Amino acid sequence: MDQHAFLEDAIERYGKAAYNYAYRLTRNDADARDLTQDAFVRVYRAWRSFKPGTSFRSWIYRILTNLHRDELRRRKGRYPEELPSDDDPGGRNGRPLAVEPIEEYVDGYLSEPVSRALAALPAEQRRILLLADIEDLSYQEIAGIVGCSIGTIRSRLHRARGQLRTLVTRYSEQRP
Amino acid sequence: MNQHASLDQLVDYIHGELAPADDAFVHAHLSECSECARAYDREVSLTARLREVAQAQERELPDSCVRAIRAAAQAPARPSLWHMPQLLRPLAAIPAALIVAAVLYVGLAHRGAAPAHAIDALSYVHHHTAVTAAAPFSDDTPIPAVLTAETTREDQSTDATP
Repeated sequence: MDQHAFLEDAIERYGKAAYNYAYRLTRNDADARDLTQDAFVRVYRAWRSFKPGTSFRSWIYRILTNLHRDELRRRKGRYPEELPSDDDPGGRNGRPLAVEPIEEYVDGYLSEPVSRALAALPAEQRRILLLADIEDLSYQEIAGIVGCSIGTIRSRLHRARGQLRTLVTRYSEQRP
Repeated sequence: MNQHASLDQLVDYIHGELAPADDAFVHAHLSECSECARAYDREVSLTARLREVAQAQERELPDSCVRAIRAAAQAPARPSLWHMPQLLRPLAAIPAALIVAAVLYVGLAHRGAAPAHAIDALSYVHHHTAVTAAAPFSDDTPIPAVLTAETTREDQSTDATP
């Protein structure tokens, strides 16, 4: 496989996942595109360093995570947001979420407060939750992506879930 | 079993990240403790809602983004030092050589400087003995002047005279 074929294969298999991860990190389309583009260009240039048999998904997520972290530092921690706000609880541009928060769970959570709470988390906590709960990666894989120990990932995830619970409870109480 | 599972343990249990013994404890405990089973259900529900939210916001990779990736990949990379023409590479060493030369120059310049005067401890004792022998235990005795390198050197030269 040559360099171009490698890139095309990577885009075909992981382009959507990478873009969605970037979108969840940055919470806006323009930055998600830039992040995805930069990540795949890095993949293209460093294609020989990828070892067959290792997880490409972990590699591209690691590149995205590092690029996002660098960009956050450059922008002093802020990205312009685009996700649902208080005025737009149904979703982006009034488009309803695929899962409407109509179902009531006994002792469970509703989607809308969870969505708001996830968006309100600090970038570091959101990153860990995305990788652990949405991407369903192991602590070891996350440690490899984020670049710290499994113990650190464990404690950060506990803290992030605790913060999420607090915010979800608060936003649930604010519901009319 | 009286001990409850902690929330952190439940989170790790859901993610399959507990050590085998802890995993077995939580697994057994959940079947007999309704309080912990309730907390477990809430954590599972939270994870399920997170996934639903993510699924609801999922989007396709835009074609324009794919085109931009291809275009950027084809564009020549910004030249680094090792992409410079081979003949120009030695030029990059000039600033480093200048720094090394400056450090060496400063180092050698200080090497030739005279060392600080050293005070011989023995002459200090001799001086003290001489002063106290001249006026032992007298309240009127003036406090001896503070020793300086010059006075000590004078003393040393006096001591050395046969």
